[in-house]
Amino acid sequence: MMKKIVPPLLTLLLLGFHPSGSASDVYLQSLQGRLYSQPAFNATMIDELQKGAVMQLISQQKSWSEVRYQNKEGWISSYLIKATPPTKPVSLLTGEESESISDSARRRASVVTTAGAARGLAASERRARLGDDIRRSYLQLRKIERFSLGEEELNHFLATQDSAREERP
Amino acid sequence: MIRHLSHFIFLSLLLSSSVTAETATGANNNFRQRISQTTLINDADIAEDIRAEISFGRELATVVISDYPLLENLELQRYLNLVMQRLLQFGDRQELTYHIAILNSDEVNAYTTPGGYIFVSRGALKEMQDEAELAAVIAHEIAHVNRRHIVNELQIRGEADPLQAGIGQFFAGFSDAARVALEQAIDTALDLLFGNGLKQADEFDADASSTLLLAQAGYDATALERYLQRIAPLQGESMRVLVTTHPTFADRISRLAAIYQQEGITAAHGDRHQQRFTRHFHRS
Repeated sequence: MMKKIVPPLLTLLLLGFHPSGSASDVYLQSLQGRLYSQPAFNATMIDELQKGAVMQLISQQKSWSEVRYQNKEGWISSYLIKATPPTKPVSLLTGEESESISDSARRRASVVTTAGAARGLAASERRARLGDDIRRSYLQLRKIERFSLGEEELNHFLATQDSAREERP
Repeated sequence: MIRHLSHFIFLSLLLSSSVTAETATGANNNFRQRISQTTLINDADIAEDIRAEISFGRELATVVISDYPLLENLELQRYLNLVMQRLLQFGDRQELTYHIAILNSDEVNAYTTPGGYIFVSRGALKEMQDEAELAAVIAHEIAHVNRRHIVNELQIRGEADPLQAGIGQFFAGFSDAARVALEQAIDTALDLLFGNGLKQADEFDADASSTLLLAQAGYDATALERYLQRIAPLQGESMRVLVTTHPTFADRISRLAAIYQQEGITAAHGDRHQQRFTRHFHRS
């Protein structure tokens, strides 16, 4: 077991410490990020940054990082930055059709038998319903995965302000 | 693809069974700490690990769906996706594609599986009063994904070099050994979702980082506290899983108050979009 665990851990360790830029460079991971004058959300917003923006880390305080971005200095949430550039999108969906429904259903059938038992369902009862259940679940999952929003629709949603916002005490 | 799927999952599961064995000895706390420190240091954004995470999350999501019927309502699904996308503008894992669906259950809860599969129950939606509360629940689930709580607990990992893992024998199909390992890991994950729950620290962590996500996205970031205050007095079967898998409401609420204080968050800031929320739920 150790043989199997150690090599990946070593690889990760090396990768984790490998500097990809200047020692203090940090990169915005999210699509957007806001730079504030103080480490608090009620502080003045200095700038809005885009994914991949490079900042120089000055200091850190709790969940905030003080950074220099171009000629400005300010605070950004530490959750949004990392010492490495943002990772490219990863998907399993290329070639997913090669996994036939019957293959995956057969494999999942066994998994769900155990899962059902773990949750207190009688294995025999679970198994009786199994074929249809798993096939249906898999198709439903695919439907969820295929759902996507239009760009225009999303932009409209993002741009809509809460009209009641100013009325709250 | 099936080759990939089998090999990632098999590999990750070899590792996860070692975690399970340690847990059984009672030495789990120290072991967990060591694991989580290692993970924090490395924070591995290697594509292989991410693929393994998505593969496993997908398997687990299929099991969740097989136990809970989905609510088929395109209009509501669209709305939940829009709210989720508003949050994801400020999400730090742009490598993932997130998916969201509604479970047609009276249970008041939400679930997430690794890789970005999020489920909110009809019972939970019924208790919400505005879009910020919906966003708060989704943000809590996003936080579990982004902070890799299940991935770290089960040590789900990919392997860049298949030969190193002696994986060739599994290319022909899904072997018995791999299937057993997958079953074990799915069971452990189900226990995290429906049984004993994640570590309390992971739940507090999800509350904290989701609050910051809400604030970043311009929502009223006190929404989680409002929602928890409302559901705290509820009792009965619909609350059973939420209560057994999460820390007490009082504990969560008091920690949230401290975060609001520290981060300069007040209820006066941010959108609630109550009208838009009500409109969607009345129409549906």
